[in-house]
Amino acid sequence: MKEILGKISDIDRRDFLAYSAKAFLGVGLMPAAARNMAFAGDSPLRRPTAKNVIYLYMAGGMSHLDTFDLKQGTQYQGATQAIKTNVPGTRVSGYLPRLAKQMDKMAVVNSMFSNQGAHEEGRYFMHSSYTKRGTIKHPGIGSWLVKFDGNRNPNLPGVVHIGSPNPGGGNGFLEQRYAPLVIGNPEAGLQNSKRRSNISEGQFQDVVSLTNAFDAEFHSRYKHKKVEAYSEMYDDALKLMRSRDLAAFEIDKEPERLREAYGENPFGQGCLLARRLVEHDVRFVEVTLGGWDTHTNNFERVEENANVLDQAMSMLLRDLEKRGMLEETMVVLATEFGRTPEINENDGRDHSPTAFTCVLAGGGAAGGQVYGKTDESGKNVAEDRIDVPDFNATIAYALGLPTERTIFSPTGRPFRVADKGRPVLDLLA
Amino acid sequence: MVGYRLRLLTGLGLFCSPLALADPIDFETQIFPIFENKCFNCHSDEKQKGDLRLDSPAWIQRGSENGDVLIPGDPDESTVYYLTTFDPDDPDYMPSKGKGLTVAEQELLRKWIEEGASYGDDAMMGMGGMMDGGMGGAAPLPRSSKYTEDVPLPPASYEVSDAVANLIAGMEKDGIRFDTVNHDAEYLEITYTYSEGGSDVFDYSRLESVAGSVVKLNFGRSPVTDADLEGVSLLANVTYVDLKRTKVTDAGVAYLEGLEKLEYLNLVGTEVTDESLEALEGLKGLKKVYVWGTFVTRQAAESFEKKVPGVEVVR
Repeated sequence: MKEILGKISDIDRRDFLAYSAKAFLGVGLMPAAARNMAFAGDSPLRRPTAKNVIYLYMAGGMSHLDTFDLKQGTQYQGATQAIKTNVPGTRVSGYLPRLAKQMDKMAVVNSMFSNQGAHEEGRYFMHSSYTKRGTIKHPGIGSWLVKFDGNRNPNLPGVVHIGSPNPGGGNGFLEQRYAPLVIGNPEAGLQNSKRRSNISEGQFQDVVSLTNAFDAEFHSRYKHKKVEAYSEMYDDALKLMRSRDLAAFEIDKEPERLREAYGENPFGQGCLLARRLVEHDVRFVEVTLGGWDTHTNNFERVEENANVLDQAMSMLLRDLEKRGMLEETMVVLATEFGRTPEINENDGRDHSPTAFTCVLAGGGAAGGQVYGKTDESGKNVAEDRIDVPDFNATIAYALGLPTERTIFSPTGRPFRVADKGRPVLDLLA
Repeated sequence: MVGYRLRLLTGLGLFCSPLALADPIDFETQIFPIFENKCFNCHSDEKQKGDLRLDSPAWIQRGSENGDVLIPGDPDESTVYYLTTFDPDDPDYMPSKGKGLTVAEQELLRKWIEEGASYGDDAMMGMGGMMDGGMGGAAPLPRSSKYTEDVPLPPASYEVSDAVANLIAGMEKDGIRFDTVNHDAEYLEITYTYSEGGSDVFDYSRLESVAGSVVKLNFGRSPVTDADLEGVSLLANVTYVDLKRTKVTDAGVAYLEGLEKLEYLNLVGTEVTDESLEALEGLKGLKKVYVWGTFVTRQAAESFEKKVPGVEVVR
């Protein structure tokens, strides 16, 4: 055992170099002899299995009490009813009848905890594991993933955000090339990605090479990261324009029946687009569904929203499974906080970050379980609390990201993928 | 306390009783308290300066951001020891804050490392148990409450061997991509999706030097043809083949018959028929076959599931 542990640290010491090698050269160059043969086979530890993430973000604060953590028979429940799922002994909201039939795929975490009770701050914390501050911007998991493990598709961006003009997680202090591509309307696909029809490829090429010629001297004189990032952005845009993978953005290529099955609304179509993108090896796709800030008229509004979520997410899980993609694609359902057990005078629920629900499915998540418990009202976590950084560390670990590694920002400040979060291995199969 | 002193002195070799000399320094009762008193402000669960924790054997062995802090048998190469012996004014002196180690403590640490830095049998058992997710056997002595049961996670490994690195240099220009499977350097995934095709792109003999490590083949959306799959059985350890949205037909699938370890086969969106399933009946390790959007019939899928126990045909 000592021998094995010795070797762990052995590998650990080297992988910093390996990261650099992979990040800068596109490949690791460690000699075979340095690797440990016994460790890989004998280790009882779980290996990460997820490759991609589809991150469904419920903006505004999804009411845990009316979706996954019901308090039947108490004064806090209101109009919401519980229904059985396909996993004996577990129940979800009657507003989620289709997801109830996919419970075997989902690890429902009812013991999420955050200390951020305002939307913007909560959203920032959920995406980056750090609290928002003025002096630095922290990267989201998608950008970390591409930073460490690269783009799989050489022609497409590694991170795409759909349906929100204000995505919660960006590239932060990481280089511009790890920034998400933002798509407002999934049905419109990627705008302005085609050459104008009255310009021939030859003419276009002339313009590009002329630009490059003008820029060349400037670039050689100012070898600055930000200058390079700028020209990289142009290169990537050109690569994308000429790529056959551009078809990934065109959801009108999908059969009409399937488009209807996802739901004829931006979120449903966004989930369909997310599946298409992941099929084309985009690593991290976030789809946002807003409207969860139910200070007024909570029950009707949650029912409406939940219906959109239920249809799209259940279809997404089925579609991924049918295509053999669920094993490598982790579907995450997340939100910034939950809502109060007390129902206010407007029949609404207010912000409550001290207990809420998030869900993991696919990509190695151990489905069919409800993890953690809240107290009788659902205001506080009673058992197995998972802090936001722990939840993100779990996703990061499933993707094989080094959650214990300290990375320095350009200004020399130390950061980690999920701050001090530790992965919750019980959520992974 | 008397026992502690006695052991300390025997550790220093000041007592000459052969019985006492044979008694090695005990990690938990003699070394751990030093770490706890002098190092934990910066190197335990609260703070990990330099990415270092010293609050259990597993963390000590994991080392710091600069690598190993302890080389058993070699105190002069072990930072965990020699930094404590520097002049307190030296910028590298440890601990950088608070009281330093006494000369006796330094000596004890040095001696323990010289003796091989053993953590004792219980510690080892405990660590083995922790790696399984629980404690394997209770420790006989009550442990310091600071002794952590958290274990370092296995590092994600993005490294590949020389053989692979050389291959990659030759094959990436053809658009072929290499990756480790689940960050385990022992297993390789090869992706042909971004290759434009060409005369020897699918010549598997090029992979001969790493053939045994290749477990995943990603042909999805690639220009692979039936003929390109001939010879694929050279990669005998392949468990996963993705052929989704390719031009591959029954004739191509037939070549997979030689992949005896195959578990996962994705044929989504191809024009394969029931014949493909028949060709695969000999592959008893199959677990999942994806045939959605193909010509495979339900009857054929059901009969295949009967003939190959444990397989699920998803359609």
